[in-house]
Amino acid sequence: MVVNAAVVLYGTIGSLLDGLLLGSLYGLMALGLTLIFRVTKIANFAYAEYITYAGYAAFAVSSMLAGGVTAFIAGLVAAMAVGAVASLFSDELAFKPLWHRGADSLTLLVASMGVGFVMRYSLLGAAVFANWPLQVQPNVANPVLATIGGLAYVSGAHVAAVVAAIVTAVGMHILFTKTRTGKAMRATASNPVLARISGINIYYIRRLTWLLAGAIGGLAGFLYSYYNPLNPESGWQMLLWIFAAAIMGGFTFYGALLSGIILGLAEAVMGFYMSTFLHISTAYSPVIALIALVLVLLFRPEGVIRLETHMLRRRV
Amino acid sequence: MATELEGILAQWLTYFAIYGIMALSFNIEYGFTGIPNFGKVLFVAVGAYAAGVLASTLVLMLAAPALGVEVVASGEPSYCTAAAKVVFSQAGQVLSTTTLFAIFLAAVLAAAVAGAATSIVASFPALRLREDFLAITLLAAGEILRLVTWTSVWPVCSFNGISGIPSPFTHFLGRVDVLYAGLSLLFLLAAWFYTEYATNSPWGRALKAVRDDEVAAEVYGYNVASIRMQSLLVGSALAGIAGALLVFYSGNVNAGTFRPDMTFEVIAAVILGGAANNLGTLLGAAVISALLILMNPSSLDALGVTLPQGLLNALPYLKYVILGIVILLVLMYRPQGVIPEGPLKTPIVEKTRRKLREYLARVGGQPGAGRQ
Amino acid sequence: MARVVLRTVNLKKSFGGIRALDGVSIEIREGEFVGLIGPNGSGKSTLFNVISGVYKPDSGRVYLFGQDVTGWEPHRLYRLGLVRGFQVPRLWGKMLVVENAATAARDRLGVGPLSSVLDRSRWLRWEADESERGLTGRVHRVLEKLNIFHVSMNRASEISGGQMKLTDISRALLGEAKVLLLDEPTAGVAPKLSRDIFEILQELNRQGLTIFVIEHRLEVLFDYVERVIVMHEGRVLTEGAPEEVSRDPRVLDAYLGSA
Ligand SMILES: Nc1ncnc2c1ncn2[C@@H]1O[C@H](COP(=O)(O)OP(=O)(O)O)[C@@H](O)[C@H]1O
Ligand SMILES: [Mg+2]
Repeated sequence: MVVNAAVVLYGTIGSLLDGLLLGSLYGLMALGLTLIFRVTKIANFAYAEYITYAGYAAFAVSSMLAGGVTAFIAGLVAAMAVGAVASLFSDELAFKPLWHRGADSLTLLVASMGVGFVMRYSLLGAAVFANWPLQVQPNVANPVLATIGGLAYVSGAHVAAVVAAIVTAVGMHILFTKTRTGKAMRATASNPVLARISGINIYYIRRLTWLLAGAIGGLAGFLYSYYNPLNPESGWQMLLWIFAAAIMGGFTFYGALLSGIILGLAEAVMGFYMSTFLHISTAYSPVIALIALVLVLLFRPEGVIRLETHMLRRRV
Repeated sequence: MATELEGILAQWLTYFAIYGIMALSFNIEYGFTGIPNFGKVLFVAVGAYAAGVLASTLVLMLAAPALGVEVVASGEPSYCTAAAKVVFSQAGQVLSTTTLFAIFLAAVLAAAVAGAATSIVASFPALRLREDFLAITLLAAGEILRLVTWTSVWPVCSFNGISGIPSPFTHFLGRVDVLYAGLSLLFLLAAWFYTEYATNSPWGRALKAVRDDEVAAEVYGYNVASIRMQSLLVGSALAGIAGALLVFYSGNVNAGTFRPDMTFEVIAAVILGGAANNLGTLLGAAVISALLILMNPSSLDALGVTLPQGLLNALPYLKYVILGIVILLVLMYRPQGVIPEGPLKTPIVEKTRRKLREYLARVGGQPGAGRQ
Repeated sequence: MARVVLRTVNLKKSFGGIRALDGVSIEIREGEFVGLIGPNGSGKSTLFNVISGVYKPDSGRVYLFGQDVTGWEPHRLYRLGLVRGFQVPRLWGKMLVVENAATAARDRLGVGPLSSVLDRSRWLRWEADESERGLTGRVHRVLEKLNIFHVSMNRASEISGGQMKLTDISRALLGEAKVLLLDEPTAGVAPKLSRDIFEILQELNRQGLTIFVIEHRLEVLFDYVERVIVMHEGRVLTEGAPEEVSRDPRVLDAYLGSA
């Protein structure tokens, strides 16, 4: 293949744009995972399935409608609602009872894999049973807003993903550090017994945490499927990236978002260069996430980008 | 009908043997030493690849000249070529049973060595990471190995895999599947004896000490890093052997087999049966392998069970739904498993039990005080 | 004078902003029975943790039998003959009490994935002291002496707090140390038994064991030790014979000041 300069230039721009989109979504997804981890200390493998379920809900609702703005809004609402409910249910049915029995973090992790299995394979089973298409996408148009050199383009999904990720990260940060609810969440996380004695309704806080995290996952699932078709394993396939972003970000909100963007950019840009110049398949790109994850865990297990601790520390 | 049942039984026994070895290996790491090796499938895959590559290379080397087939490879491994498939299918004509068995044993040995060698790489994170992050890392590493080997022709012919590797029973007539089940069970038996002897010993105490409190283990003279390493080494060698048995069972090596689901099946077996209990582990493996075999359209067909087509199609997925539910129920209602962990079977425990009984009889104490 | 077996030089260790050790230099001689006292939070346990390799010091050095062992991992110190108990028992919770004791015992065989199987005849045999059967006698004697033999077949996580403490001590005794560090051995133990523990320690000391013990029951401690080191706010405040220390006004101030 002859590599010409224009292809490289516009390919690079295109992969930067796609990386930004993908990275914002990884970051957004990592926000929900971070919230759950911060409050309940669960490394939640089932989180990926909330995203997938939300995407399917958006597909189901929007395909009943004619498309356009109504379908967009209905799809978004359905996705967030299903994400939130799936998340809450998994806590009420599995994690909370285990936590009451004094389960350690590893047991909770195994349980979250179990929940993930039940959810993912139910969806796969249902898809096969009911003969659904292999991939689904909400009935919502993704308008192209600008094209650059005929190869790279900016679509509605690009804008939506970046805006949603930033707004959510800022919102979560403010919620966690500046509000009474956030303080209650932090108190519940560090010492549930003490939190309860000091009058915090830890069950309400816990429910709120799961609903919120699930809704964030739902939002991300909707935005993802707005751009990429979804299959029952989509969430699972992204889980490594999501964990990598959350861990790189040291389980802080801004850190998770930035790490997600860095990973997304790395995936898209390195994928583009490797396939263009080295003819290496993009199937290898998850190796990037794994290497990032292992390096971070080995050398800076507290995370690379922790934008919030400083603030927390100063406030204490 | 009867032969079909025999077939299912042979299949189950083979799976039981293979999953039993995997479960024993996971039990040494997770149950006894507290290392959540959620990358179990990684070591099984490495073993399978090593066995598959060595066996197919040996078969090509020994059989191709005799058969007069010329195997020319360009860029890909020679055993991935179409000519290699021809050699594999006719290898029985020129290779004796002794040779085939020698190849099989060499492959199993290679698998154990490759599994153990990989564990040295894995121990780098395993000695340093927090439990749950270690689990995530190893799980991810297993997934990546699958993705990479599924895409690359090295080492196992990408998504095509290596197929048609001759079984050691090529020259046998009759129920080869039953013979293979027997052979696999022999390996399980060996693994069982090894694990029982190795864990019911001062080494087993050291493993549990590392699991229960690593600081105290260090202070009382145990090199925690080296004990973790030993545990992973043994576990991974066993996992590699299980991988090799899987290869000769199907005659294929395919990267697609080694999904994280397999790790989860093994975790389920150990947690269901009872962690840090070798017998419980085998029981768990027996149950899980039965579930895997029965939730299969062909087995149901053989058993005369008819289901609507849609349900039959969904069956491979439903089995994992069931597996997930089983895991959750066990964690919630019987976290110690069906057969809970007991004291190690060592002379000191036996002597103490006896002496305590005499002592209690003498002082008239409650028998309950001696409960385990 | 007997040789110095344990020496620390200007040890420092901080946790965040807290200076737990602020330049601690001590010397323990062979065969001594030394007490370490000081108000809560004065850094006594931290000193033991640094000496035994559980924590690495920020600066300063530790010498054991004249060898610089600063920063060594605990298992290597155990091999040199340093054994310690814990203030809050760190038992192996899912193992039986008797297994806890046996696991801590010195001179063990069969600890390895191969030796456990191949060396079976050796670690199982009757005569040798280090074999499982020889071990059994040693373990039983210690458990009986500490009056916890009746719970020897219970899981270590399922016995009372005092029994846990005694199990911790049984491990320390079975470690057959040359230098033994014990961190509040009588905390949570019935008062009558406290003296029994010190009687046992005294007997071991007379047989040549060097003992360094943290203890807050001063009335018990002072009857047994020959020398007391007092710590306060991460430093050595003073040291001397029990009667000297108990008359020192600074010691009383330190205790009262922190209360
Ligand atoms: N692991 C630790 N992390 C943080 N602070 C610690 C830790 N260990 C000890 N400290 C602090 O160091 C100081 C000395 O503690 P310690 O050595 O336990 O005192 P003592 O045993 O004399 O009561 C205390 O202020 C304690 O809070
Ligand atoms: Mg203390």
